[in-house]
Amino acid sequence: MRAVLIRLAMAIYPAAVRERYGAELEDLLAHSTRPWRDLADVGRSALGEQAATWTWDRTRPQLRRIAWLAAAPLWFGATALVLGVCGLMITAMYARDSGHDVSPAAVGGPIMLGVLGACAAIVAVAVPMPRQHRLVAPALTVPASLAAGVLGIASVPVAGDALGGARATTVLWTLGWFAVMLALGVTITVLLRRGRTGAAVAVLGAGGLGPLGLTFVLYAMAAPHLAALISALPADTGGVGAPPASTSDVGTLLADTGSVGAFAGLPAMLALCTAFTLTLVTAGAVHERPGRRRGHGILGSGADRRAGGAHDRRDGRAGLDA
Amino acid sequence: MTGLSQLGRFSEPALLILISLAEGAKHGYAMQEDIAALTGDRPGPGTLYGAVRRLEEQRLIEQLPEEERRKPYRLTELGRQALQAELVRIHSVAGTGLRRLATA
Repeated sequence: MRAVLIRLAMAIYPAAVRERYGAELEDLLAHSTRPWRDLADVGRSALGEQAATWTWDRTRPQLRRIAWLAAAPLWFGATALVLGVCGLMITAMYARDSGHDVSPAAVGGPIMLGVLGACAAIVAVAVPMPRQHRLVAPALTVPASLAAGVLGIASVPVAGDALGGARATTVLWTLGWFAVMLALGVTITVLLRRGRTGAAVAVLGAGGLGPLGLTFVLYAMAAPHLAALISALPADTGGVGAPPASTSDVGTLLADTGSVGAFAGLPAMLALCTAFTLTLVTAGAVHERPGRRRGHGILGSGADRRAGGAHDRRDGRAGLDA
Repeated sequence: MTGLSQLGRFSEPALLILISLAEGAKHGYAMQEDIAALTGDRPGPGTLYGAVRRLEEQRLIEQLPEEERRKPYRLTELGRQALQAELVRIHSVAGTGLRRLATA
């Protein structure tokens, strides 16, 4: 409990101060005879340091990154949509060339492949990001920003309808997703920083890919109702000159697949957000691991510092004057 | 000459740190112990290192090379001069105050 409180208090400090004095501060706190008074003193001093060192120039990059993250679901959705429609077009063209009709039930395949392709692209983009952009507390800021972005999309009339019919359900589902991602992100980060890579991979697989697969199943079930989303597409979108009435035409195919308004794109969106969040948080934790000793954040371990602190107290100032 | 009064709420802990380091280099825990013995009140870690940071910025103290995880600090020549000036000022103010009390 004390270790958690110490890390929380240390997390308030500006990174530069924490990196320079964090180990010494944690050591004094860990062995304090008046821990509550000292924790309050550190918390107050940390807030003072934040206020003293705050600048707009320092805050602006973080705000810009958070804004970018909040806008990311828009790009995720657009990417999945483009890939899904491309898959449908290819399927429709292939069917038309071979003289077959495509049944509406087969539409789910290309769409799911489109989402899967978007997931792969998102993972590829997210892996190198922690090396280029430093995010504060990514286990919290990434899912929080994405959830805010999804809720923002849900509040826009047409896009909100594409995510799901009932706004209250969308809000609850998104908040639930945020809570699960926060728990998974913190767990994975802690495990990786403690060197328990196997356990982290297990949590990533079971806790992350499990729900991801589930959302794909849900998405596949919802896919036949995609017509509500793309019914506005012109009938010859994928026809390439084919007659509008043909069942190998994308617009007609989509129009035949379900009733307007029944489609719920939220599972697919959250699947994309899950892939991005877990990749970014995991890559960030792996990237931060070598600097663990210098006390860099809310999840850093103080065990190695305390080991050195005991030595300090035994020796006092002996030998320093020599 | 740098005045400790510039350090705001850290001016008193900073003075105590300088006095503590006047005896020789010390690390954080030893400074805390020394100041506690000197004043009867141990400074909190946040206050102590808040003052240490500002003293380092003013180049009044400096960190010595880390030895077995210990980070000792010592007075610089500028710090020694600043401490001397501050103690003389305090001594002068205290003397004046005591004289006025005696004659009142």
